[in-house]
This record gives sequence, C-alpha cells and structure tokens, in this order.
Amino acid sequence: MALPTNDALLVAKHESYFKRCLSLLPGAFQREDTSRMTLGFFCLAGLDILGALNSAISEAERQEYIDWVYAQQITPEHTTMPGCCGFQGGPFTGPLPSSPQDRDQRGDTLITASLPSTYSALACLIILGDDLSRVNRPAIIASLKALQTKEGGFRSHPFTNEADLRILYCACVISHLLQDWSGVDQPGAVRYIQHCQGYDGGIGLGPGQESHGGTTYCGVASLKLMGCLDKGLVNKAATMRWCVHRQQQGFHGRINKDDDTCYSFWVGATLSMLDSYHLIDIHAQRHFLLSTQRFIGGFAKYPGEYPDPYHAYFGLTAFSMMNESGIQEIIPELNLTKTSYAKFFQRSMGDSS
Amino acid sequence: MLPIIDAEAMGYFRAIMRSNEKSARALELTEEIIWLNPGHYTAWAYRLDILKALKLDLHQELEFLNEFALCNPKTYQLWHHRREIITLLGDPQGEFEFLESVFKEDGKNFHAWAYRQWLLVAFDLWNGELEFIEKILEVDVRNNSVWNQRFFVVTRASTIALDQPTLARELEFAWSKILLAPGNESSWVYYRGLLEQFGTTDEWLAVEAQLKNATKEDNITPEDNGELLKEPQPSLTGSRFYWEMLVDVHTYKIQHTDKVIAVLNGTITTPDLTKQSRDEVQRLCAHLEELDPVRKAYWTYRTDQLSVT
Repeated sequence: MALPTNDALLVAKHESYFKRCLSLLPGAFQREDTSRMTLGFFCLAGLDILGALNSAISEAERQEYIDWVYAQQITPEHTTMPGCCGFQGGPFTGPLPSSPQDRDQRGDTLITASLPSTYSALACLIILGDDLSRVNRPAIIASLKALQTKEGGFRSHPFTNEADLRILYCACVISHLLQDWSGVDQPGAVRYIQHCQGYDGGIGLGPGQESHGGTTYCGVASLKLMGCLDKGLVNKAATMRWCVHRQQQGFHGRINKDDDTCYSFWVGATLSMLDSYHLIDIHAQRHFLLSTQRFIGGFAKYPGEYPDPYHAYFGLTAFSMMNESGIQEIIPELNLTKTSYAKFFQRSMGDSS
Repeated sequence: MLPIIDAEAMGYFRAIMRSNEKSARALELTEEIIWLNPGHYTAWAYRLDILKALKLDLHQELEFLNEFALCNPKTYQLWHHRREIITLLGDPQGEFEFLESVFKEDGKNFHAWAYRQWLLVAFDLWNGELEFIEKILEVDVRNNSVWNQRFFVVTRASTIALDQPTLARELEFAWSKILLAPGNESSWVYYRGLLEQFGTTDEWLAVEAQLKNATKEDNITPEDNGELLKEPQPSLTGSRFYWEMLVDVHTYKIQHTDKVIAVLNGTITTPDLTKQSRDEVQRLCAHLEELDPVRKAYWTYRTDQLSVT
C-alpha cells in the first residue's frame, strides 16, 4: 500500500497525537518526570494552536488538569526557604507537607519549585481558561527576587549556583503574566542579556558562550517583555543577520549545524519580534517541516525520526507564523495563542473592575 | 495530567529525603534516581549534600561523573554538579583529559565548552588554549564552538580593546582558514566579528584590498581537503560569504565617510565615496540574490537599507 504523500499539514492527526500524549506519554518520557508540567504545556498549547482544546478535552478533564497544576504549587505553607515558591514540575518529590506544623516536623529540606515549571504552569492555566486566582503571587515574586544573581541572570531554584538566559526568560514571562515586575531587577537583566550577545550577533546561554537559536529567542523575547527591545539589544542588525543566516531549508540553531524543526520557532519567532519574518523563505521552510511531519501525527526533530510533543508543538507554531489557515495566531514572545491570551486578559480585567 | 510510570526507587528516595538520611545507601539511591531521570535536580542537590556531609572521596565521584557523562552528556545538572566537585577539590587536574573524551563524542557539546571556559577562568589555565583550539580546527574547521572558544580566549571575554598585533594575527589566522574552506560560515563570522568590534578604518580598507586581490589568484579550490571538510567547498568567489563581506566593507564606508576620507588623504569627496559604495552594495546584493536565493528578501532588504542610512 502506498503511503499518503506528505504535502499537507495533517491537522486532525496532530490533534489526536496531542490527545494521546496528554493521556499517556510513551514510556521513554519517564526520563522527564521532573518536567511533566512542561510536557503538559506542549500538549495543551498544541491543542490550543489547533483551536481544538474544547473539542479534545471535556469540561471535567479541563477542571481536573487545572487542579493537577495547582496541586504542584509550592507556597510558604510547604517551605520557608527563600526562592522555593512557585510550581514544581510534577509530584515527583511525593506528598507536600499538609500544614505548617507538618512542614516544620519533616526533615526534607529540598522541596522546591523551579522557574521553568512555574512558567509552564502559568501558561497551562491560562490555556485551560483559569484566572490564576489561586496563584500565590507574592510568594512567586519573592522567589524571583531570591533567584536573581548579582550578574543579573536567574537561577532555576535555590539549590543550584548556575544562572542562565533560559531561566531569565522564564522570570520575564512570569512577571508579565502576573503583571508584577517588582521581583526583577530589570537593568540588571538587560545587562546580563547584553553580555550574552556574541561577536556574531546571536545570543548564547551565558556570557562568552556560543550563539544559539533557543537562547537568542530567550534574550530577544525577554527584552521585548521588558519593553526595551530597541535600546536593550547591543546590535539589532547583527542579531537579525544571524537569524536570517540560520535558514538552510528549515532552520538550525547554531552555525554549521543541521536544520531541526524546533528552530523554525526559536529563530522564526525572534525574526518576527524583530519585524523581519518576511525575510525568510517560506516555501523552503514549509518543505522542510513537511519532511519532519509524521503520518501518525506530530513532528520530529529531523526527517525520519520519531515525533515528540516538543517538536510537534514547535512545528505547528511555524505554520502559525506562516499564516496557515486553521492554525491559531500566536504571540511570539509569550508562546501563547492570541485567543487564549486575550481571554485571560479579559478575565483579569474583570477581576480588577 | 500526563501520568508517567513511577519507579520503586523514587519511593525509597522520597522516604530517605524525608528522614534527611545522609548515608552510603542514600548516595547509592541518588545514583539510581539520576540514571532513571538525569534531570532530577532534587536528587543531584541531595547527592551533593551527602558528599559534603560524609566527606566522601570526591575523586571517586568524578569517576562516577565520567561514566555518567558518556551516557548523558547533555544534562545541565551533570555539569553544574561537576563544577561543584572541582570547586570543592580546588584542583582541575585531569579535567582537560575528561573533556577530550567528551569532545571525541561530540565536539559541539555546548555544556562542555561552557565548562571549559569556567575552568580557564577559575584556575587561570589560558596557556596552551590557542594550541588546543588549533589542533581541533585542523580536524574540523567548521566546528563553530571552537571558533567561539577562540574569540573567548583571544579577547579574554572582554569587549573593550584588543592590541593591534593580536588583532592582525587573528585576522590573518581567520583569513587562512577562509582560503582553506571559503564556504565555512564560522571563519567568516569570526573575521567579521573581530573587524566590527576592534577594527579601525585602516583594517577595514586592508580587508577590502585583501578580498579583491584574492580573486586574482582565485584558483584556490580546496580539493585536497575534501574529506577533511566533509562537504565540497565552493571557490572563494563561489561563496556567498565572500560577497557578503564586501557588502559589509562598503556599508562601513558609507557609515564612516569622514574616517575613510582621512585615511585616503582626501583623494575622494564625500558624495563620490557614498555614491560609489552605494552602487557597489546594490551590485553585490543583486549578485547575492542570485547566488543565495533562500535569503533573496534579505539581500533586497540590505539594498533598501542604504536609502535609509
């Protein structure tokens, strides 16, 4: 039997792919037990970008997911250690202390949220239509304060000394979504991003490191969220040039590396924020992405490989930026659909009036 | 949401963390967890606590990390943990050998390169680094991580200034690698990066001369290096980067007319210089639109930018 030709976006297949992942991830993902929240984000965001969230999950499931996300929230009830509040990536550390008394009696001192999980949790809640009313905002803002380093970068949680640009981006999205920037020293954060910009115009994970598509996105999106994209970037023309040169057919993340589905988002979204998405070759990119699309749904990293939720979601975001019909529009710097974000914004306005 | 099969080991680990047990069996358990889930940051943090509390032999820990790195070279926590151990030991002996084994598997592992940069700074190990870099570039001149490392070493991570002899040496080095593989973006980007950050008008004009003179003897097809370069290389004038560099030179001239005229002792007027360079950029970008069709819109954009500046 001849396989169908791979010349169209398989919308229905992608929907069932994300549904499958959401209910039972393949065993191989056991390695990701600490980042279930982030995997959940990719599945929910995937359904959202397909405009299929309401048809794919029932009202009861939606409520169940919201409750699961909130069950991962770490608050001062659970820990007194500065920087630990927010959301953890899943229940992998077991039941949380049931009360402050229980907390003080228990010997475990490593209960902590992480900033990537906190970012993913807030994004999941927004996609699921929650109003964030059960989020302990002051505790998260206090965590941000505790986790920013004197160089301006952010640590993921208090039990590490390592800061990098990915985590700084998470801190910026969290501040934006909570509409409270008091946890971030913004001039410090901008300086840190500037130190990460390389001689080639791209941005690395930390000062002195090789420019990379993912971290270039993090730097540019953080500056955009802080409202200083024009002044904050050391050399905007160089960043744009670096991004444009990452296209072979699809996009790759570093000079002299192979094209990989996800960089159509990281680099493409960066160009979009720099008002330069029109400079890329849409046809070449589309051709590449259709070669990583799988008949069973989802996208893989490279042609011929197995799909995963991460590449499946980012493959779709590229089609969104290429204005594919039937795919929801996204806000590049937030990695959320315009529709979900607008609804969230209306809900939070409603609260304050 | 997203049920993931839990392991028995995870249950034991929680129990041990709860009782805050720091023991040999607790250490073994963290190892189990980390093998199951390399990104389990709590297990890594707990492991470090145990090592410190029991004052265990950290060299043995390095042996474990060596083995772990072979299977999970891209785990962030692994590299963070290694820094902590080396900091506690206060001695980086053996670390370069370890990194060689990692680079043998993947010469572009950015965790390993970041770690190497940390070692250089923390233990003042700059001597010999350029030789190390050259050795790797001889095997793979397209490895951009190595070029980045070279920039890091040459500038000592400073963006302020570079002494003239060093700048000249580095431009020359990059140029020799460009001639070896004209289609290699890494060496071109390094070349331009140096010029943009540290180059004076003299250097920019010298580059223009170098580019133009090179085409006179443009038979340097790197046929001998076919295997080394892993892909067929264009000739110098067949490389888009050659033409792009010329666009940059002329753009520089348009943006720095006063300086250029001073160097040329006033032998050209501002309007003439500007017009000449604009015409050149237009011609070069038109050529690039043909040579590099994926970036056609970008080359048009670069031409259009001229009327803005």
